[in-house]
Amino acid sequence: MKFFRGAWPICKRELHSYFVSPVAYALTAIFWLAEGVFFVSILGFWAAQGRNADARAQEFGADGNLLNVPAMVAGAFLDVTVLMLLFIIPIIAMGLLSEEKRRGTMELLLTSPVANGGILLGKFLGAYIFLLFMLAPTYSFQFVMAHYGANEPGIFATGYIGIALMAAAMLAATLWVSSVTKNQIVAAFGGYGVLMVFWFIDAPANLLPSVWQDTVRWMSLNEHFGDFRVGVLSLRDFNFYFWFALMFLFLTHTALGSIRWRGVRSS
Amino acid sequence: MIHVENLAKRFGSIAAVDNISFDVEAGEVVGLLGPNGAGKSTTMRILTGAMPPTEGIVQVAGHDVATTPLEVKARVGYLPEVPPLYPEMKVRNYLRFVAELKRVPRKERAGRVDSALARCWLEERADQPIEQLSKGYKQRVGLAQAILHDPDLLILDEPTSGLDPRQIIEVRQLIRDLAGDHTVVLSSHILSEIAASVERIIVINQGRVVAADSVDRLAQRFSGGEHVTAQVRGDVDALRRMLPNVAGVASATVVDDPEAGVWRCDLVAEPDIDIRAGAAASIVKAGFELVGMSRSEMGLEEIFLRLTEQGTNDHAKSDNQAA
Repeated sequence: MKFFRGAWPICKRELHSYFVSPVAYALTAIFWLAEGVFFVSILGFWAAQGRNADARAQEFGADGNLLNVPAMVAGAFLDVTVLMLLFIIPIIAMGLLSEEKRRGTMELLLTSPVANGGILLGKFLGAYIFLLFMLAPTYSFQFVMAHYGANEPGIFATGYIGIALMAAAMLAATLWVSSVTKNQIVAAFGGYGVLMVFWFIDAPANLLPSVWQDTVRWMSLNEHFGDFRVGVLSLRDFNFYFWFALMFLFLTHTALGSIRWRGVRSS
Repeated sequence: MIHVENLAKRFGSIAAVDNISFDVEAGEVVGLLGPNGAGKSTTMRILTGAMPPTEGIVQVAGHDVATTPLEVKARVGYLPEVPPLYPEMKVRNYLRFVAELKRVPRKERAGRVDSALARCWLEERADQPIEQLSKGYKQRVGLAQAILHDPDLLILDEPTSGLDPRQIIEVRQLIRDLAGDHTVVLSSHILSEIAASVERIIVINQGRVVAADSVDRLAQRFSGGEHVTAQVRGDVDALRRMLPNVAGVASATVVDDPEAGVWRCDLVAEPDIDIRAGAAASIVKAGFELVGMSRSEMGLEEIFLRLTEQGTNDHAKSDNQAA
């Protein structure tokens, strides 16, 4: 496809650069370790809560199992994973375009028969595939629960669909930040800034006039995850992440056009 | 091969290139010369098809860069000022990536990569990560990248900047080898560089072409006649009286005596006359001792300064004061 010309080699190269980068390895190791620690402590916490609830219920003569422990664990674990993404994605994405500009390799891409859409898609996919590679093993944590006889595979499934969608949206936003600077540290902090804005945008919702409340809630990255984490798939949430990602990819495409027109130096 | 007509490139209100026109024939080796910020890099980037011009016509091998940039990109190899390298990649993998980017057909890729490695003397380093290479080797990888898809036109922006003298000679040799089958446009602000590598120079200053000709002809145009330097032992007053009378000498000055008693004399010939033999004979005949004699052609430095004087006088003044 003409619009995405050059995407595949760029995507492959990007992936390769993650797999030879010590930063990416360190980040992956920390992510996996932290996810494991969080999962174990969440499991411990809710197992204790579950036992307490059962004991309390028996005191009053009811049967056990008042608290759905697997659903609680899955929900809390998904929340933690999403929070981790908030910290990891700006680091994954910070160098995507800013480093190309700083190293001068953008010049190679611009003088090759590669479309802006190809640069965009190649970069996005490269980083996205790496993110999915980081996330994939954590999906298997549910089998620890299954081993003890209780699991909520449905919540894990919808939760990970939600995570994949939200990760794409976050990645698109941080990719855009990376396209407007030459400095990857600036790109990382700018990425945190943009994600934070769309994370907390619904916080003051109750203080706003009622006509605005729904709008700011709709704009929140976090709010749309609520359905996925309890096992619900809704088109409304899917649409939000899809259009959020598309908007930032479009902005990035525009930024690339501007780089082409003005050259790298002026940015 | 290249046709540039009334090219202008503006960034907002700043004109980086302001009405440039020139042509380059196939097989020529041309140097773009000019002070820093003159518009060389912008002109080159436009020639590669990477950046559209604001105004004017730019054609490479008959293809317009603004309307058919892909056709142009397929025919142009470009080495930017900073070679566009991914430090974590191995040389061979990097070149494979570039081959894919440049849409070299899959079957030809391995062969092209090997031949680029061979032409740039990189075979021993092929499986080393680029970040471990010296600056000279990195420059060669940059050149290998530029010739990989066998382009008709090679555009090299400051190909020897930052290299040590040995590396400069190697890269220069490499460029000369490549010049056989490619049209080459290279830029530099180092004048000896241009003189060593190119047949014709285009001097750009403040976004305009101020001269375009061969090095020799530019020198002739600006120096008028030939300069001869003679080292003579003898009485300086008699020397001063005698030298202007030598046949064919337009003017003569005794400059100084770097070795005690041996005077350095600067003779300027009338146009198209070789005065060396005549002057030597006259000096010896007049009873002086002729210690040495050499012809000094007008240096590129001097031509460069004269061509770019206009508009940069302020800089020149402050430079002089600093000196």
